[in-house]
Amino acid sequence: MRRSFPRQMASLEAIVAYVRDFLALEGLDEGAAYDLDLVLEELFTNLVKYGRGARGDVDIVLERGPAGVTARLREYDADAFDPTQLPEVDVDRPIAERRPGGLGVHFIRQLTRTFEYDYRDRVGVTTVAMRDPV
Amino acid sequence: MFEIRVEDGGQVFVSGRFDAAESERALLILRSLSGPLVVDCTGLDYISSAGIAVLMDTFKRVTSGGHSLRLVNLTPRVKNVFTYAGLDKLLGIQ
Repeated sequence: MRRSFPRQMASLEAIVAYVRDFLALEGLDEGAAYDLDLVLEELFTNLVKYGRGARGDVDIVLERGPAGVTARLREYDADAFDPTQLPEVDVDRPIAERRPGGLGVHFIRQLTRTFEYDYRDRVGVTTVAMRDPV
Repeated sequence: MFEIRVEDGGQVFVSGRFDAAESERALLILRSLSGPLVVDCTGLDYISSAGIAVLMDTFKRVTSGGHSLRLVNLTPRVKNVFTYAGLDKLLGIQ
């Protein structure tokens, strides 16, 4: 299942609706939704905040395979931005020393089995395989 | 849809989806508050790193002023996200 979304925070509501359509199509229950919502939001908002030079909408492909759900986000005419290389946040630090940055990628790493980035011909593709089997 | 309602005595009620599309509005509201705060999350269905960043900002600001901030009535799914973030023991969650 594939759908395109304007590169703006306001697209999050439509992405949530897309996830519900995907779950219904695949016969999956709402229990799978939270983790998928969270991973997609963190990936998408990274593209909105840090994607430089990118033009057009972001394509999101959701697929269900034998090992679970895979999500792929594709942006076009974009400078390279590899979210897999962002530093890990130290969640053991006292809160006074904590900074919010990096938490989103930490969630992605917690909730996915694989987290990959590919960049060629100015097209950036981030692919994740969700950790929980469905 | 995200809603935030402030009542007398530092009671704050949040509900719906606290995501990156709503974080700026929530931050503006919470930064206007002072004194001890209790954030009731009974109706909160979802929170992402953007929502947590807002609550961290509020927690630091309130506690640096000598007051407390408590998060109460979190659903298990929402509490899980704080656990992933390593904040479940730190943010006054009850």
